[in-house]
Amino acid sequence: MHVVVLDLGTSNVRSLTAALTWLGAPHSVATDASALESATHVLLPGVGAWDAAITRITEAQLRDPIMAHVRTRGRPLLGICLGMQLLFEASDEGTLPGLGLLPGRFRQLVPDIARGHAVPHARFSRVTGSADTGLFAGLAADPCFYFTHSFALPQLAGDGETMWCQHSQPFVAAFTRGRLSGAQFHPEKSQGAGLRLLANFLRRDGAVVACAA
Amino acid sequence: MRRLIFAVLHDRGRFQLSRTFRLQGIGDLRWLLRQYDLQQVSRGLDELMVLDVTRGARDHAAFVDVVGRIASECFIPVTAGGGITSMAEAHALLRGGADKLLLNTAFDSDPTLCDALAAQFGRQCIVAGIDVRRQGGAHEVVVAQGARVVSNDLSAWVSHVQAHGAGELLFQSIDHDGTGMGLDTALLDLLPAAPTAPCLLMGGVGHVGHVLEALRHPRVDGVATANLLNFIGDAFLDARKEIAAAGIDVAQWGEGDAQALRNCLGAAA
Amino acid sequence: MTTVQTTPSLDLRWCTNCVAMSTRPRLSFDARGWCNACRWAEHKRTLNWDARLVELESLLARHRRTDGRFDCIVPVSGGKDGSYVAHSLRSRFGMNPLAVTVTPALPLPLGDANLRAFIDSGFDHIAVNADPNAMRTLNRAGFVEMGFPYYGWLIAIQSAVLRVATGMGINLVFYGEDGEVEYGGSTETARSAVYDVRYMKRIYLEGGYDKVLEASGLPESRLQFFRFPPQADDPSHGLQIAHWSYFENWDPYRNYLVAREHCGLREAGEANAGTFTNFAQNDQALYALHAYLMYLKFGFGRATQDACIEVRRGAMTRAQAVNLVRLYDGQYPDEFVPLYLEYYGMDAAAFDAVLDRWVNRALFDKVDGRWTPRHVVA
Repeated sequence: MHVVVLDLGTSNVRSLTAALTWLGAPHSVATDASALESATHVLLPGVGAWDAAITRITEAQLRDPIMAHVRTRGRPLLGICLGMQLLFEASDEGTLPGLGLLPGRFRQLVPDIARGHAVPHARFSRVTGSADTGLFAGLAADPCFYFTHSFALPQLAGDGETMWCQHSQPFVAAFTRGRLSGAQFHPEKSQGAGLRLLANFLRRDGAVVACAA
Repeated sequence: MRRLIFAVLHDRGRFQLSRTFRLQGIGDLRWLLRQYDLQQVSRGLDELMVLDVTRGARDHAAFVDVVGRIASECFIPVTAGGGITSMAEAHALLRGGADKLLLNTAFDSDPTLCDALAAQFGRQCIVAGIDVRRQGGAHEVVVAQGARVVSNDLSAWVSHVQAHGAGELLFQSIDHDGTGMGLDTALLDLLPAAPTAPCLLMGGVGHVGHVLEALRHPRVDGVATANLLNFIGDAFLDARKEIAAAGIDVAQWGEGDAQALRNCLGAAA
Repeated sequence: MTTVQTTPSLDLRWCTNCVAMSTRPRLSFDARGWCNACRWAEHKRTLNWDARLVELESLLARHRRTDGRFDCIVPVSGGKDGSYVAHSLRSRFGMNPLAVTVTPALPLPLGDANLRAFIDSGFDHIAVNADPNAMRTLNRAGFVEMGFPYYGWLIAIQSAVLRVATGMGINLVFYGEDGEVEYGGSTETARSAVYDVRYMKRIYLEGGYDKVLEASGLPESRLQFFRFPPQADDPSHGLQIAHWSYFENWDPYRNYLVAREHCGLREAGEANAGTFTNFAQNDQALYALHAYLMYLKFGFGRATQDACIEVRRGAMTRAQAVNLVRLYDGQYPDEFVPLYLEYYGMDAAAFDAVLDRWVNRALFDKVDGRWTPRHVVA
């Protein structure tokens, strides 16, 4: 196993690498594409502004290598928060096109204070719709994860697991479509539940591990 | 879901208890980690805040180091701030382990910095600290650890910080701070309309009863406490159980999850 | 009720509401296991304070002067309690208090600064300095004979204050709180607005007044400030001594906030020895020894006292109080010991011998030269 964390310079990768270290997953942090060839898994974290992140991807020429990792070598990639958003076509937050690996556009969250839905959505919230398989294997029903975002994906077509969160409107909290996974929340900031999700993502594709859980 | 946040106040290597913004040194990082097993205690918390409350000359590098050490003890969000005056300082905190920044005086002395930080890192990364003090029958918003009044109109100040990038609002009552008499929920009632941003309340928690009382208020999204002495040991875990048992919707996590997963992928090299 | 069995004769209990320990003299428990201080705190919530205020106003009316002369005396140290009482008498009740300090033996800089700030906030003030050698002799005698390291000062804050009162023709003296009633002890003064010298000698001086003065060997000429004025015992003279806590709900934390706001009180930067607070008893170095001796005699120290106050005012739960007592109570006053040795003219062995004399060996064992408790607050 070798996990590559793509650092777009917009986020705190330290928490994510700390989580990987905790899990015992060999990993490295990359700012360019050179490490991707040998990566068994890629994590794409991101915090902050859409356009700034897309620009960074373009400048670092990461678009094609990311495509190659997923489509050519058929290896898994997990986008986290903004990193999940970048996998799609567009976002209301910015003007530049996303990676377009999946169809969809991120919409601005609408506040509903009467029902306790503030914007940004910044807190632990329940995620529903998961079976006890895939990313959510071994988690209790409706686990809570930490979200911090103002834009969200209202729907997602295609085969694969889709997990939901309820704000003023429901939105996609996490998903798997083939080799691509995404989490709108931060698994590295979501207590043991987040660590388990990361472990589930990393265990797919064969690696049989001994685990106290 | 509502939030429970533990804030630690740092002043040049010593963590402080604050009573109406007067500080009392309690212990250093070793003391803190001995009294609070953060790996355990964090299961009772939604977030941590590490705030620099140094009154004199700040040692920013030391603060960044402390934030990093604390953040490395748990897997929950960490907000860091107090005394941020430059992009470089903000960057250092975020690279060093913080997930969010707390800005307070900067909204008065350098709102352009706040704009720039929100533009680069996103509004969800910016928490506005708003310190409020009662003066006669009115309320003053103050900055610089209570030294300077910036507004007599709380609502206008809230609009101001939101216009300059604040994603979340942390209201702190100086009068209630450290008194153990409970939070000042009336502060939020001063606003004519409930803000669309998350509202956190801080100042006055002595025990979980105060937290419960505040979390029942419709405008309170979360409670923060910097009461360094009243929750040592496992008290935050007990507090969370009590909050949930009282029917307040708070996230809950099972015991031992993180521990069980330690090094579970180690065999798959 | 939480009980620990140490020896057959010792049955330790702690209050089920606060963390007061059964070893405290005159502490008692009700059927719930609540100590009398907690019962009193409970009672105070429904006590008719309006009636007490009427009593206060009537007492003040008897003494209030309109010719500008002082009409009452408040003993102060510069700390929160005396400052609160003096400030209240003047600002709320229109009295003209004379503040009196009896200078302690080993004053601390913060204490001096707080006293100066108090005076500067606008009070007439007399500092009584009893002959420091006589004070020291009495303090040492008290330390050795009674385990009270500042016994001489304890006498003088009563005797010298009353001497000033009678000397200046002021017949009303307000001390702060009635410690027996507020913190768990005899309740004989709970329903009595005023008390007398006999009570002072019996309770505050623990009946040791004559013994210590005798043991000191000091001539009368050195004891003037340590003698109670005879007028104090003469009812026809009209001297009245009262506890402020009889008339108004005593709240140490409130006193601290008011003293800070109006009398310039400042706190220590760190916690005081043996506790987690920083805003009380900042005036003299011997207080830490006094608190430590209390710990050795009874098994509880300053942190326990402070934690009980916090619990009773609703700022802390008992569980939290237990944590803090375990963390802070009974700290040996390391930083002050060289000062104490020099002050008393003792070497370390002699000093420790006095501590050994007063420690309750049913509660403590000596481990590596330090008295270590067998009990843990439960």
